[in-house]
Amino acid sequence: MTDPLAPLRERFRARSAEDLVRLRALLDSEDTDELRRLAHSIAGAAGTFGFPTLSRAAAIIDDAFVAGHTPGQASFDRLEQELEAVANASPDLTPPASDA
Amino acid sequence: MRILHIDDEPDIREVTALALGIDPEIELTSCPSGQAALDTLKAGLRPDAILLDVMMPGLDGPGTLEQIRAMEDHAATPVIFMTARAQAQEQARFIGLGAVGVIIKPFDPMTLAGQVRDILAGAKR
Repeated sequence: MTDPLAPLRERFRARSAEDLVRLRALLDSEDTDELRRLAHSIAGAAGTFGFPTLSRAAAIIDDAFVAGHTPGQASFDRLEQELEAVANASPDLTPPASDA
Repeated sequence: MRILHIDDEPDIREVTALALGIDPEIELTSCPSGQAALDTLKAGLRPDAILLDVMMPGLDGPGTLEQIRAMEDHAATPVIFMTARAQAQEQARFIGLGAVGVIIKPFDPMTLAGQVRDILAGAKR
């Protein structure tokens, strides 16, 4: 049976490359408001589309902002790595096995 | 059952439409912003429930809820917040604002319709 979410999942995967570019620009400009918004958005959407590891990496940053802390560089490094992994994953319309 | 869904993320609106489409009794209207939703309500939409994203540019979820509650026709319409924030303290704050429930993103598209129905049934009890 065709997975109705597959096209959306693939679109999300492709958009991760754009989010990665945006994340790096926001880190350079130290735009914390937009960093928070981006992390919050990724945290919610990534899990829904089958990428829970990416979702968790973004949620750690979102949670830190919610708690009034500035997330550490290691958290942003991890988010970059996870975005890169999703963006470079094979567009086979299925979530990564380790993420399923 | 008419549901109004408000979220600035096009992908989330689309996956929500697919998820709620599983339930043949749900008739969905989607809006990309709090302001668009207020305009839709003013134009005459009478939803049985509203799914409302918390973090949106411009008018955010809590701000949208405040304005919905000020509308005579929608003062009692059940509102469910949808958010990536999972902390219990945050959820309690949303309920305190007048929401009947909170759905945490990420959500499972296959069970979203059931989740909405469960929250609405709980709110009626």
